[in-house]
Amino acid sequence: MQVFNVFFKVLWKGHRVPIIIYTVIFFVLAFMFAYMGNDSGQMFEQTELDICFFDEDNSAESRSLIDFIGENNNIVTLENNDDIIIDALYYERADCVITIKKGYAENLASGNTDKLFEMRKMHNGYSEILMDMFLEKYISTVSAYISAGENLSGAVKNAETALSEKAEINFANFNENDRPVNYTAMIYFRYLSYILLAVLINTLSDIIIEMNKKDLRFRTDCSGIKASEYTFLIFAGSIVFVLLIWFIFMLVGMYFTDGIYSGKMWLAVLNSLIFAVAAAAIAIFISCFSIGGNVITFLTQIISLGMSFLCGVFVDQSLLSEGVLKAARFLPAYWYVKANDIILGSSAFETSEIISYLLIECGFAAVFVVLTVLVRNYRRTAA
Amino acid sequence: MENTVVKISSLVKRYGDLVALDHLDLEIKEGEIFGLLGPNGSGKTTTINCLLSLLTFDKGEIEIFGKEMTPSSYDIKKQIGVIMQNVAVFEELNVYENIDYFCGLYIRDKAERKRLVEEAIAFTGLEDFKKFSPKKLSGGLLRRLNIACGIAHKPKLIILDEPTVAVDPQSRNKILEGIQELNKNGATIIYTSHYMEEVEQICTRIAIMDKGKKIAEGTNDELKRMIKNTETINIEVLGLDEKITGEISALPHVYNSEYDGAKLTVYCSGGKHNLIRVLDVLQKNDIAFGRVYSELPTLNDVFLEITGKALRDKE
Repeated sequence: MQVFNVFFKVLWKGHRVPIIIYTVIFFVLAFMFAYMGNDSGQMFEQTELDICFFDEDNSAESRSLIDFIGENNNIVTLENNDDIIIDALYYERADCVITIKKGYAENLASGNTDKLFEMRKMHNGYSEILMDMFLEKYISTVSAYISAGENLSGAVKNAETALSEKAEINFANFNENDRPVNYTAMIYFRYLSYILLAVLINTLSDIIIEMNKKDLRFRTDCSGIKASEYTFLIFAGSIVFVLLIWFIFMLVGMYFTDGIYSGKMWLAVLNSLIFAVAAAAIAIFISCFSIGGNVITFLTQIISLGMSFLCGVFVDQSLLSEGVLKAARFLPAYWYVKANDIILGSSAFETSEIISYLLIECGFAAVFVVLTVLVRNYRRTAA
Repeated sequence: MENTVVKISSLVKRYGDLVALDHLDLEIKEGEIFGLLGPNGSGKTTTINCLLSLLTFDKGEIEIFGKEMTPSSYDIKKQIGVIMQNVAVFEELNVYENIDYFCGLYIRDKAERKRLVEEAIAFTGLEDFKKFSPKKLSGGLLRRLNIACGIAHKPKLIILDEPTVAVDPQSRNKILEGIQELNKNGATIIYTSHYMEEVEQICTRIAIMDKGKKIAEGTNDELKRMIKNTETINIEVLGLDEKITGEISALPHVYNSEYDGAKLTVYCSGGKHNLIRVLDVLQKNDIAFGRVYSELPTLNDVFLEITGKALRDKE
């Protein structure tokens, strides 16, 4: 037990600061991203365009149109000069410039609506197209009221009333079997893969390297303790440490799951445990190489951040390119995130599919364990 | 001093084409302070590593306490204490915790371990530094901690591999006194060094190694008796001619003399009153001389005469 106790003494005295820093930063980020991202995809905001009008008609109807459009857009004022207008459009100070032609009211009343406006725009974006459509709809509505017997001012008033009614925006879930998605838990568990990699590689590798430092190991090998017992006690210390770290994150994770893990949430918990073991296997593999603390810190950043970006921890996998995802398949975090997003992001999934992902993660852990044994044996033989 | 503690027979260790140990034979008796002396690369540390089963070897046998030593000879290892050249302690643990940890690799009983750790701390004079981190200890104190970690479990055989490298003279003397005290308390000591003065000072028997071979073995006096030179006389003198130096070279027991224009060196083999006879020659010839001193042979002279090269450069 002496070796086991010293494992944790070295851990506490030499590594508690980085562990606490990583953990606190993670909690802050997890809370921030979980709640910042909670509403994403469920918000609707109408676009406001920057529009410049030149009213050549200067009639009550043309002013009414400008006022009506101005209610939902920004009216910008420009000098009526071609160069200035082109500059304003180019530099996006205005999305479009509309000239209401002289005779607008008269032509509108007589039903001659072909050339009421002249619109100048630089881009053919959706906003400009929407404005085209809106003007067309406005004119056709006014014309409809005129055709129905209204005079021009009455038709304009009625058309504006009709067009100012806003549609209520609802987000429909087309999958009838979907249960409520626990978005915050999904984000928390997704980010967990990053922190598990960072903490375990940074800490576990360093402690094992320290415990196996040439001079210390030399002294231990000369002592009465069996080499196998020494290795076993370090391994036991590593396992307890991994479980401890994982358990702390699971406790905090309960905050995101209304204080309890239930149903499919247990699959996410299992997924995170298997990933923690895979991360520990990577850390133990790194510890085969007698590298210094600075190199470990560097490797921690490369592996944890690199894997997180490639595998869809920080950016949703659906937003990553096919090439990146193909490469990410060779990393355990990809399968962890894939399983996690399916478990916590939707309700309808095949348990067998999740199990296959979990088995792949176990496979990664096994590969790193085998690599560790091979490297250690090679180094022992070479010595 | 009768029981054999360590017996190495015809030990051969090769690193590829390099023969690190070439049919080495050693026998170390109980209660000895056995010195392994030799220049860097002579095979001292390889011998120790093979002895402790930290290295495999190509040929030969090693017995410790009458039993064959193998990597799994844990009953033998429990009776050995090792103090290596490099300080091997945990920087995260304090002085007490480090000694307790290494003692705990041999002694499981907590109460007994506590007593032994306290004794090791007292023995190495680290009472005031128990709670100190190794980072805060001076070089000398670190060496003492290194020794405390190696001897806390009261081993019967203590192996010290160059424990005084890069240690100040005061700390070195303390360490050497401590080794002698451990020996007085019953431990057999194997001490490797390339500092001949240390080996001469504390070792009861010495083996001189070079290129993986034992080139001489015996007590300090026995080794010195192996060589021709018994006394070297140095005289600071000016203006000697060939006639006078020839007269000195012809004196009984003088087998060689050198004169560089300022200093006369006379090498003698056996005999008594060699210095008086040399000074008589100078006085007879009315030669004034300055500082006169006579040197007895050192282990370096032994090494020089056997191998034709100096044991180590002056430090």
